[in-house]
Amino acid sequence: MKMIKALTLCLALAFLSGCASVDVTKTAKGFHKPTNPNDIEIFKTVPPRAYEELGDITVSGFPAGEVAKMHNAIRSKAAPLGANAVILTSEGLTPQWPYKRFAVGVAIAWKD
Amino acid sequence: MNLLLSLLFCVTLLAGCTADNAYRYYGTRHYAAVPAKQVEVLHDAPAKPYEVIADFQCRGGSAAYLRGLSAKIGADAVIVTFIGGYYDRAEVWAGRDSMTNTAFRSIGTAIKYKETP
Repeated sequence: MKMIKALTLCLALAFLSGCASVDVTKTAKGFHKPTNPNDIEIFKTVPPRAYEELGDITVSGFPAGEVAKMHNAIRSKAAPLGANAVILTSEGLTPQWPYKRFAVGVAIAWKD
Repeated sequence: MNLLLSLLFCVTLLAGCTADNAYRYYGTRHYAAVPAKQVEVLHDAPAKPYEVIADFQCRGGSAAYLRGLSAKIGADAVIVTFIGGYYDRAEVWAGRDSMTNTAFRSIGTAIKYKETP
């Protein structure tokens, strides 16, 4: 019964238009203290400050016009990894209708 | 992408197992295994000095699962973090995430406490 409920929840989540997804993969060694999502910066270019990479981020499921909201989702999900910022290496729309916004990036922590 | 991740999440839950398991062991010294209940489960860095001996990463793993892995390598504790997941698009504040319990990935940093002189 528990498994049926879990499966139902999963499938419901997939089809709900109110949910997007952020997949985070850690690449750094060790533990970094979680940060405040509000303080996480979003960069489209390499920041002029020494940093270490913590992990990569893949975002999907946002409508085409929800760029700022997608950035907030990235902040929320990068914070537990200990990120100070995320550098977006790719961002755009899926090639087929209903065009969805996606982003790929690298979560980083300042060295100094 | 959403559907693919959801299906992967479902399969993992249904099977009661983990996926995309990837572990890293640091250093040359290896420790004898210890009982799992001897390994502390932490959610933040401890105040005591420590050395990181391994990192565990997987989809679907629980804190208990990461504790078991850490016990096999003789760790004193494992710092557990859950990352990624679904995000409610109705949310407007970066500091609020109502879907933290949908984390896609579990990570555990296995540590040994440094002996104090």
